This record gives sequence, structure tokens and C-alpha cells, in this order.
Amino acid sequence: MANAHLVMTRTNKLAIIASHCQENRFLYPNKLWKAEEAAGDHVGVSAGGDGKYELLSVADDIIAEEIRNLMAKNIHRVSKELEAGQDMKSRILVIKAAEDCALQYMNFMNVIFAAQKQNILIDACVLDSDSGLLQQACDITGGLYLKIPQKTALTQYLLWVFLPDADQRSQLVLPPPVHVDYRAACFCHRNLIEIGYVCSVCLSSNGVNLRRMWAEQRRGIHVTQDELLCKDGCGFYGNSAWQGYCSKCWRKRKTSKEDHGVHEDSRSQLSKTEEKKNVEKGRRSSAIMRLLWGSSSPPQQGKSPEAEKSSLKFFQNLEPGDFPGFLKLLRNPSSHHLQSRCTAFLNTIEAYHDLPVQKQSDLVQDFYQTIAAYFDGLPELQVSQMMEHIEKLIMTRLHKWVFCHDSCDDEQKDLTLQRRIKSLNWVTPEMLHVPFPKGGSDTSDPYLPAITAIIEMDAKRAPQDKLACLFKCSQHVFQALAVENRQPANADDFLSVLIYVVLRANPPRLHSNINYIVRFGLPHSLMAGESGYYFTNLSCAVAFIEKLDGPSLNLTSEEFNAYMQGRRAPPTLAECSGQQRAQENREQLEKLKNRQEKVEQGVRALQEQLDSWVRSVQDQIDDVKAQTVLVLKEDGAEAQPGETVC
Amino acid sequence: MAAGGGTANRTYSFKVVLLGEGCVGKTSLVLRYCENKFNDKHITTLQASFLTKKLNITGKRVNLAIWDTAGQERFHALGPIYYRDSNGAILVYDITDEDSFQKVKNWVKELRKMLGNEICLCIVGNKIDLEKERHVSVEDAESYAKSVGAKHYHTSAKLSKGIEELFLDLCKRMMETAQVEERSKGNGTSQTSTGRRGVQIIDDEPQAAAAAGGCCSSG
Repeated sequence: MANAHLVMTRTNKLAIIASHCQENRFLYPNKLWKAEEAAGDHVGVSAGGDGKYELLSVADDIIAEEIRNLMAKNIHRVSKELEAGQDMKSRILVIKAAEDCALQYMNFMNVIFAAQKQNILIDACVLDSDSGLLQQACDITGGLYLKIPQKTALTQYLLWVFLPDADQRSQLVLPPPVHVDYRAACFCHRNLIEIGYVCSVCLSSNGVNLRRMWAEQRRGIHVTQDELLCKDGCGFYGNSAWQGYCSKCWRKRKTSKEDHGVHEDSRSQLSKTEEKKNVEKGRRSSAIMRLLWGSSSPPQQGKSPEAEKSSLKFFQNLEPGDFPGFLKLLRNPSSHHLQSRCTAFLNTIEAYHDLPVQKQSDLVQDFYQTIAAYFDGLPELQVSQMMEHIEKLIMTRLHKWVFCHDSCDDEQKDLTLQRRIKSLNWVTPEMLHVPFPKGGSDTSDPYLPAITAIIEMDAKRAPQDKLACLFKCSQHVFQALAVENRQPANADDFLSVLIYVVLRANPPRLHSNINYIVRFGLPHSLMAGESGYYFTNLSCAVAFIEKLDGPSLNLTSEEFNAYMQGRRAPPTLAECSGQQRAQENREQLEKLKNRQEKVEQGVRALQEQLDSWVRSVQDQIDDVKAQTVLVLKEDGAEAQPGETVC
Repeated sequence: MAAGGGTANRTYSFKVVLLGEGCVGKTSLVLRYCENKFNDKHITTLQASFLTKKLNITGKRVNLAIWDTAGQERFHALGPIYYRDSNGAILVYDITDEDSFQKVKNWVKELRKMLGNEICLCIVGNKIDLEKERHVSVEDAESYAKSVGAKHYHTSAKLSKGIEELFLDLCKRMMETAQVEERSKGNGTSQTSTGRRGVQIIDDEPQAAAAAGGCCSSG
């Protein structure tokens, strides 16, 4: 393949390097050749220095260890050629037959970043086991990563897949890109880790110390990733072996030899950094930002824009409010950049959850802005939809860290507000001019649904879900108002009712919730839009409750104080309705009693009438009887003689 | 977005607050504008406190969000919470009610104090169908409006007079202000200022709370 490459174009150049854990050797341009190049061939190298990384000769060696130390040298050489002012299409092909070796991790990461800066493709042809490191390398530099399924067909793969350069590759049907594992690996043990922050100082004091620290159950080893970077700030990773400098800067320092003091200081820095940690949180947060958006965005820009566009297209088809759908799309390989940024951000905030809440709010808001820029290609409506998804994703995770944060007095204020609302339990709807159904048998509160909705707010996590609860609450308020009023409700009605609802509900942790939404909500949903309006009204209601006094309830301040101190009978709604009901019942009983009495009277009168009637009838009967007896007697007297006649 | 900005091809979003005493006809005014209905039984919306209207002005799309504010005296202190970050304010008074005009003057002072000259003010004399009972003279109102850099309009929600003009004019003025602001922002480097708005509120919140605390202790 090497020959094929050389034959392709006259100007193609080739370097073959064999590499081993301990040693690297140029195979193809040997010493002699190199000298020649250095002498006068430099102009000739104009069009292409193509690094080939040939492991095969060494691969069968005894130890299954990694190889790529010299790759740094190789890149170095290529870049030197670049510095000569020529633009060329350089590539590095790594053929790997051994396991990854932890020792070279840092160096190799530097190689990758250097390659990316110089526009050098890194291709990887893996014969043995998958290598996450190489996957990342290929992905960052835009090269190809291929694990060869059949080792016997190695030559075919090399010729067909790796030989064509980047331009030609676009016209070929290549194996699909692999899913890149972006997790970092532990620097000393090569284990893949989800979260891990180790500072260069801890690192330099070797892994054993690390383990001891874990054993001592420190809450985690917090170290900014920027401390991992080279101390000179050149953008590459530093290495403990070089006292936190990258290889280049280390060498520079070593040659200049002006830093004796620093060497001795490095020990004392161990303790110093501990102290600094608390003091320099502010500085650190800016470092995080630099880390997240300074260093991670360039690779993204270097990434093929088509891939991003295609992922955006996916998002465009998303139904509004389809959060599960969004999550599914996020898993899609095409949007892994977005996902990895979100994850990185989440990890950072979680690791620095003891930052002041204001700083965290700044970080989150800045993150929203950068992410919004990512969706720039979409129409505005879509962007805001996407941002809502992002907010939900981020804040659902961060809620437990940043809600009612220790660094502010939210909790205290919550309690104050809660007590305040409790002490105002005597306020009636009438005092607030809230239209309320009067009396009647059905005195249940028409604003009950609104009250339940606003209490539910505390249970939600994402700011937008909290706002949705408030929205629901407001809708219930308007519905209840529509029953009472003929006209559509205006702000006065609405605010009055909202105050009443808040007083009735005494929503848990209201102050914290409001601050949380302000700090971590999307600005555009807070500033404009209907839920923004309702949120403003809620803020108003809280402000009103906090400074509530007699005149605003149409009471004199004496009355107000009397109510507040409980001297005056608090006609709270519950008692009021109870009393009312009791009063009604009493009245009803009175009425019943009256009626009962009336009935009894009637009964008695009837009885009397009956009695008198019976008596009168009896009398009449007696009268009649008395008469008829006489008649009968007369009859009998008459008949008797008749009989006797017969 | 909240700043009402956006590039030339973007939609403008404006927040307009509606200020005025209880019975000056704020609700009727917006309902007439957004639904073209007055004291109608067929009004579909449940509420007239938050209404939106989409406009197309000289080829540019404008989303207008009209925020009604609680105008009763007891809610007076809450004003600043309502009108922060608003692009325009419509101050309504009843031409038959001298008091309502006084209230407008108070609000103008407050708005200018809080928001400076970034906000476009409109002073609106409503109910011109009751011209006979007028208590606020036209000259007074107009000269006052001029003195505070506001525009004055006469409207009648009942007769649907002057309302379209009022809103159209206001939108145009807000667009101008937004463009000016954009240009000045383009010169400066403060690209972050829009993003910081979300954070900016927090500064106000503790202030409000602190003020409230002061009142509580006195009450």
C-alpha cells in the first residue's frame, strides 16, 4: 500500500515509523534519507508528507503494548514541513495490532489536538481490539476509523479504504462511522470513567496517593480540567512527568533553565492549591467556561457542517412538546456533539455545585446562549422549542444541586414568606375584592383547582414545568372568574384572585421557586409570552403579600393590627362558612320548630274540633234517640193492639 | 428577543404595558383592538389581561404582547414589576375623569424614572364618544404629552375610533427605537447584554423583597 501511495502521485511522500512502548524508529525515511532531506530536499517536500505508521513489523513482538510515542515526533515533523509555508494534505494512518497503553495517553491526546490544528487526518486501522482513543482521534480530525473484520483481507482494506485521500473519499461508499465513545480514560489505569476530576498536582503525586485519598473518603477530588492542561497555557495537556507542562513547553523550559525555584515550589503548591480552592472559585468558574466553550468549540467548527445540518433536520421534524422524542434524537449518533456538550456541562455543574448560585445561574444562562447558537439554522419558533427541551434536560438534572441553594438565603426567605402567609389567614375574599359566590348551600371554593395547581408547582423540576403549573393555575382562575363576571377578566381581577389563591394555598417554598425560575429559566419564556405574564403576576402577588397592610385591604391600621395579633375574631373563610352554615341550620331548625308548633297547634285544634264534633254528634244522636224511642214506643203501643186484634 | 431586537429578517417581539385607572376602559380598548368587539356577549377569550397580536409593518413581522396591569390604587407599588423590560407603554385616561389623568401623570414620572427614554409612551384619552362630559381639556393633555416626550391620542373603544392608529403608530416607534438600539449595540461589544437580561432580573428581585421587608416592619 505504501508503494501504491507513492505511485499515485509523484509528489506523494511517505514516512513509516515503527513504534513500541519504549522505542520508535523511522523505517522508511532512514537516517540517511533524512539528512538528505534536511540538506536540500525541503522544497521538494512541498505537496505531501504522508505519515504512515507501521506497526506490523513490531506487532508480533513479545509484549502486547502500545506504540505511538513516536507519533508525536511524526506530527512534529509534518508540522515543521507545514511551517515551511506549504499547504498540503497530510494524513497519518495508524495500524494498530496491540492493546492501548496507558502510558502514552497524554502524549497521544496532544498529538490528536496538534493534528487537528494542522488539518491532518488521522486514520486508524485496527486489527485487534477497539481503541476508544483512536476513535476519538479519528473523529476529531475527521479521519476514518475501521476495525477490520477479516485480517486476511488487510491489503484490500488498506487499498480501498485508506488509500484514497479525503476528497476522493466523499465519492466512495465507505463503512459507516462508528459510534465514538467520548468518555475519558483514567490517566493511570486506563479505565473508562463517567465523571472524574483529578488535578495535575494529585496526579503528579501518583496513583497510590489517589487511592489513599479515596480511602479517606474525601467528597470527591475536585480539580479543574484546566489544571490538566499545560501550565504554559498553550492549550495542550500537561503531563505529571513534566510537572504539568506539555512536552513542548517542558523542553523549552528545560533548555532555558530559568525555573529552579518553581521546581522546588511544586511541593508546597500541593497545600497551597487546597487553600486557593476556596478563594478562587470565581476565577475557576471562568476557567470552566473557557474549558467548555473555549476549547470544545473549535473541534466542533472543524467538524463537517453536513453532519450538524442533518442532525438539525432531525430536530426540525420534532413535534412541539415531544420531550421523549427529543431524547431519542439526542441518542442519535448525528447529534452526539450536542449530547456530549450537555453531558459535559452537567458534569461540570454537578462537580462545582458548591459555587455561589449566582455563578451557577450565569453558567447556565451562558450555556443556553451557546446552545441557542448551535440551533441557529432553524426557524425561530423551532429554536425556542429546542431550547425548551434543552432547558428541561439540563434543569431536571441540576434541580437537586441548585434549587434552594446553600449559598443564598432562599430557605430563610421561604420560611418568612410562609409564616407571613400563615399569619394572614384571616383575609377574606371580600377584603381582596375577589368575586366570590355569596352564601347559598354550595359554598365550596371556586378557586380550588387553581389552588391545587399552584401547590403542584413545587413538585416539578424544570422551570418550564413550574411555569406550566402556574399557567394551569391561571387558566383555572380565569375560568372561575368567567362564572362570576360577565366580562373577560382584566388584570385587577386576575391579580386579586391570584393573591387570594396564594394566600389560600401557601405554596411550599414559593420564594425559592420564583428565584429558581428567574435564575435558571429560559430568558425568552420569562420575558415575553403568556407564562411570562403570569409569572410576573405571581411575583406581584408575592410582593403584595409581603407588604400587605391595612389600607390595601380597606381596613384601618388598628383593625389590621388587631387581626394580625389575633385579638379580633378572625373570620377566616373556613370558619366563616362553618358559622354561616351553622347559622343557616339554626334558622332552618327554628323554622322547622315553628312549623312543628304550628302543626301541633293545628293538630290540637283539629283534635278539639273533632272532639267537639263528636260530642255534638253524640248530642244529636242522643237527641234523636230520645225522640225515636218515644216514637218506637208509640209504634209499639199502636201495634200491640193490632196484634191483639189479629 | 426580549429587547425587541433581532436582526432585520427576524420577527420583532414587543412588550407593551397598559396602564390606567380602574374604569378608564383599558379592557375595552384592547378587546376592541384584538377581537374587534365591545361589550359583546360573543367574546371568546376568558381574559383580557394578556393579549397578543401579530402585525406586518412595512414587510416586517411584529409580535405584540399587550400586558394589562393592575391599576387599582392598592396595587400601585407593584408597577415596576410589571413594566420592566417593556418596549412601550399605553397610558389610558378617561376624558370625563380628571383624576384618571392625574394618575397618568404619576405613571409617566415613574416610567421615565425606571426605564429612561428607551420606552415609547402613548397617552390615550379614551371615551371621546362622551365628548359632552369632557373634563380634561385637549390642549392640557396634548401639551403635557409633548412636555414628557409622549404622543397623545384620542380614542373611543365604543365607536372604535383611533385605536388602530394608536397601536400602529406605537409599533412603528418601537421598531425605530429597537433599530437604533441595535445599531448602537453593533458598535459596542456588548453582545452579551441580551443574554444577561435573564440574569438581570435577579438584581431587582431582592430589592423588591427588601423594600417589602421595610414595609412589613412598619405595618
